[in-house]
Amino acid sequence: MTEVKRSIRAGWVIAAILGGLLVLNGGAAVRDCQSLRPVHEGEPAPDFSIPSIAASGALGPSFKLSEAKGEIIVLDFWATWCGPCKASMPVLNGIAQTYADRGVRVVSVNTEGTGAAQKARRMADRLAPSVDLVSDTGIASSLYKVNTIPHMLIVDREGTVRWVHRGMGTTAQLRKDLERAIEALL
Amino acid sequence: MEVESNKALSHWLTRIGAALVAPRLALRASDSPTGQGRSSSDITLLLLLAVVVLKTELFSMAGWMVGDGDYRGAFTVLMVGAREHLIMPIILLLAGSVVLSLLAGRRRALASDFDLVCVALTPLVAVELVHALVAKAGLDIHTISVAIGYSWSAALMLLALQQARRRPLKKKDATAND
Repeated sequence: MTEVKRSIRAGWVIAAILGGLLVLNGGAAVRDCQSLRPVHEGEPAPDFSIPSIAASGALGPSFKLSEAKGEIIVLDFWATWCGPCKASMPVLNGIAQTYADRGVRVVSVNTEGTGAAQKARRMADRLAPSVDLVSDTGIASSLYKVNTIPHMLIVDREGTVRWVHRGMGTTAQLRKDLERAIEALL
Repeated sequence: MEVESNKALSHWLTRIGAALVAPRLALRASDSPTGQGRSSSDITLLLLLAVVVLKTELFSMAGWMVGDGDYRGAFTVLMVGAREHLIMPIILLLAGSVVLSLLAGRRRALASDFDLVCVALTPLVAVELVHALVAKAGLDIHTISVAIGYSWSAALMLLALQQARRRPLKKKDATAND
């Protein structure tokens, strides 16, 4: 019976730990509620400056979002290990080619840090050679609250977020959604 | 004895506690005919509660997304958060069950072996919760807590194997022995 009593006590300790964590983490989530709000449509796009990845795979000049004002920017957060991201890259490449002469630029943000620049370049060359490739060490991802990839946004010519997309459906649907969102801004 | 241990461990919290401080009792109860399936639902509930208390910021983000009408985004964020947290325990549960079943020899019983592994994994989740709480106080004991969690669960796996090998042989096998 002592074993049962000890078990009851241990069970309540676990319950207390769960309760404590809920209070502490839940309290923090409530306190930081505003800062946890993901970037949404209609909000000014947070500005960032991160290095581009040159054709050689080395880090190149920085890409600053605010300097691209006047262009429609499609931001795509991705990683080389992410299957759905790879599947979406040819779609983005097609978008970059179709709308290049109409002031639309696709910026592919690799979220794996500068160490993965070479790998990202090789993959982009194979799947999406027409997109601009940049390397993020977490600056842009944290500004845009990127928790899942692929994560795409469209920023209009004035620097306002106009479209947000998380996850991946079919490539055909993604292309349709992207085209519809871009056409609405042209 | 089995009936007694099952009666005593009728509450979810008591069964979780037993896996931590009275593992033989928890394993015996889990392996008994009346206790079947309970430990798998126990660990599932514990894991889900752990996701809720450890990933509150994701729930907050998902709430915002729902408010913005992005139901799909909210679902994706929650699923990815849950997947990150649950993938390792699920792999360990499945791999552990296969190993236990193989080692149990002729006394194997797949469903019961899975239940025993569920009990054995409880310390891993419990240590993770303690670590999360301690980390709130600014103490970084990640490596130590991982080592404690895995060693504790490994020890329970050995006890689970003992329990599995204590099962009576099935009638067919027993007759073959005679």
